[in-house]
Amino acid sequence: MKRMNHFLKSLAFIILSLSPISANAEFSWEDYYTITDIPIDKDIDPQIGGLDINAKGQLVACFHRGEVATYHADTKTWKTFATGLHEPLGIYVEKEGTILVIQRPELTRLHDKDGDGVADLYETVCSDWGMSGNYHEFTFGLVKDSKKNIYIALGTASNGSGVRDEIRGPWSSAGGLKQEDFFNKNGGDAWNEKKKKLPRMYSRVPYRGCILQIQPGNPKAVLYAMGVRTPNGLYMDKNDQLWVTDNQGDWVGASKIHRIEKGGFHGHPAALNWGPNPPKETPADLPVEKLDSMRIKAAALLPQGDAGNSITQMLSFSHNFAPLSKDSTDQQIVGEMNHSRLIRYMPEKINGKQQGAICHMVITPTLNHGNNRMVHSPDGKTLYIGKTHLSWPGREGMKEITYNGKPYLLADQVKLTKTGFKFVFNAPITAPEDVMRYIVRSYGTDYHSSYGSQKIDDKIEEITKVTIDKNILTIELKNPPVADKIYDITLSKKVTSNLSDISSNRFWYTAHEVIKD
Amino acid sequence: MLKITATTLTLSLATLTGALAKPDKDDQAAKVAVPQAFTTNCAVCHAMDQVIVGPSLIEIAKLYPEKRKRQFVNWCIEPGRKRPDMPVMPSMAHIPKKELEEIHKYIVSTSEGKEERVRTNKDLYKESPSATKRPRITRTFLPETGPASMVIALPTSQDHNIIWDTDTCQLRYISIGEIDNFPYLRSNGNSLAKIGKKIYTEKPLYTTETKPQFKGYQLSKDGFPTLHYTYGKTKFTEKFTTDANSVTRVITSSSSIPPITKLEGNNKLEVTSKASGNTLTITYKAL
Repeated sequence: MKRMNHFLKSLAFIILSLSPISANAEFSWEDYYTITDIPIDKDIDPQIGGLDINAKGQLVACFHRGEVATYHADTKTWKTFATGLHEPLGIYVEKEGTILVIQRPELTRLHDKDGDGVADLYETVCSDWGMSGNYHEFTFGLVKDSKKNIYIALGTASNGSGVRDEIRGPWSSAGGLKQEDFFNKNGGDAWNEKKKKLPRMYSRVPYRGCILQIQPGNPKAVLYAMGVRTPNGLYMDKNDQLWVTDNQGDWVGASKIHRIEKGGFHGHPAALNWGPNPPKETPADLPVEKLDSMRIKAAALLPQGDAGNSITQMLSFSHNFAPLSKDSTDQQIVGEMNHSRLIRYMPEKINGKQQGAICHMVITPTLNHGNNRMVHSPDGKTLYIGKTHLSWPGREGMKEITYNGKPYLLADQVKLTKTGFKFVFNAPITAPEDVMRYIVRSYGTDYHSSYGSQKIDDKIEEITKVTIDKNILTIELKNPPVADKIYDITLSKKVTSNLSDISSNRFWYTAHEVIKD
Repeated sequence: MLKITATTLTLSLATLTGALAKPDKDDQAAKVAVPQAFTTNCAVCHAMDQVIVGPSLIEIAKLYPEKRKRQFVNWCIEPGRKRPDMPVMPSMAHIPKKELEEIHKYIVSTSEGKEERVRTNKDLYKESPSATKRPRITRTFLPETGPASMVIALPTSQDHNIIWDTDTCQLRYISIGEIDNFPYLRSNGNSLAKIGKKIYTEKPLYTTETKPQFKGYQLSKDGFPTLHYTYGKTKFTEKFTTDANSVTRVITSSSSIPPITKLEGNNKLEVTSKASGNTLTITYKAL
């Protein structure tokens, strides 16, 4: 029987690994969403770093080559507002009509003093962070809280290359590593040899790998939180809670959705150089157990390739963009660079800890890759998406995705139970109760200095019972859920309702905590 | 009895996932089916016959033929930088070795007999107004200056460019000719923009321990900039204007102008300065 179990598990693995599992052949997203291109003037390199909507309801975008422009839907053309900015990766239209843009070297406020529709004052609001000149030191943004504090996030440097002779900010020689140890003057094999002594992603000038708070009227930034790697997505919720996405890599076993805690360390050690007690050694050389005990774990993990790959901006989920029930609040929509789909995050708090489930939506090749920046239309029915690639995987241009309002079947919420999982749908369902039509897999991820993570202790959980009760589907497991696992749950495609078949049937639940007796 | 259960299970799971759907004609024609791990992890960057982000499958198969399977797997687990014009591939350590071997087998098999298409490295936006208009400011990574510098491209007959560092609030040097930012853009910041021909380097104007603070810039209707910065509580502005053969830089201070370093021109550029009250005027005239 033991051998039989092994056989069944292997078989399930094979099937899982072959399956385009979160797609559903019976359900077509394009029956509910119209996806069209927004044209971009031929003079503009159509890679979008930031997207917002102004008081007139017009799209305002910043582009790879430094333009800021406003879209005029009537003529389908863009009017340039500003030019010459340095890799802007975030934009925020202020109530006063000014526009904030985050560039590599500074936060800039663009004013149109003479009212001719073109920026004439580029005001430096804050430039209080270091730059080593390493290509990977992107500056991401940009959100505001209700007190008008601005938040930005600083990407770490990559040992894919070195630093420049002239840098901004003091150098950190933690671990005895000097600036010249990071010079890459000859490239190729010489650099590949040299970089073996260096950490994979590093922070040798101030605040790389940190979140900064910029208070009104103060050019000095406040170090708000530490420990991010490539934080290409900031989101401020209605309770002034900051959320930041991060990309898979060293110390980030899977892309993450962080719920940022003020003063907290969120896991990537490089930033510890700028914390209250900077280590003498290279932070990545600190004992993993110590780092692990210090870190705040991400609210949700998105296993590489399966759930998310280079995730991007987050937005609050508009109830006019999907048939989500009114009770399902605080959900978020997340973009992704490497797949033609969007991500939905369903938060849940267990024992006071933030965790929850991920699933996909708008899974269609028409959407395409590179979904970097997003903004809802004022009525919330349309999502505008700005794409980029920056020479990595991704695409160019802009898409407009409009929901036609026709209801379809989706899981409103995914809840952890003492014995398994409960799925709350937005309509009464019929579904098989045969346990063999459902798969629950569990595994952990590594927290280590290597890139990404294998699935640790990857196994198929035995399902003992599936129950259907109106709009609720409950899965019970032989072994109750345990902490520090990701549960990868695939429901039967035969889950159906009067609305439609199930739209998305695969879910990843991050269980830091489980329900105790 | 066990066998029957297993078969039943196979069928149930197949219905569930749709995984065992029959391959279409293309797949049947291919010698090796497309591994799912390839579709999920590789296809977004590696196309059959051309570079999209990384090298084509044809080129990978040439670099890693069947006998170099082991090296292929090792590279995928721990890749490095081989090509300065391409990003470094992330590690594929999350894919089991066996699946990496399957990916290798697929790449070698599927690319057999196919030919590479040549990649064009043309800058499609070279002629766009925001890349060519003068006067203009472009912020990018530039050689021989700090990482937060800018080019002030001016409309003289020789296309003079001021390279100005926003960290030290200094004019670092002057070049002539068009700026090419494509090296920076193509490499995502790993290479520096080309600045034309450098004709003049300037020493710091003031000898002071105080660190200046850049405050931004204003643009006139015709695009000429006035830069703003402070040394402590003293506010400074620098305004750039031109005529056909010269650049005029007018510096004003909210208190008096401190003594400045002696400026020396050369056979390309005559540099003269004149201080008057809180104003310092420096003229750079092409020779």
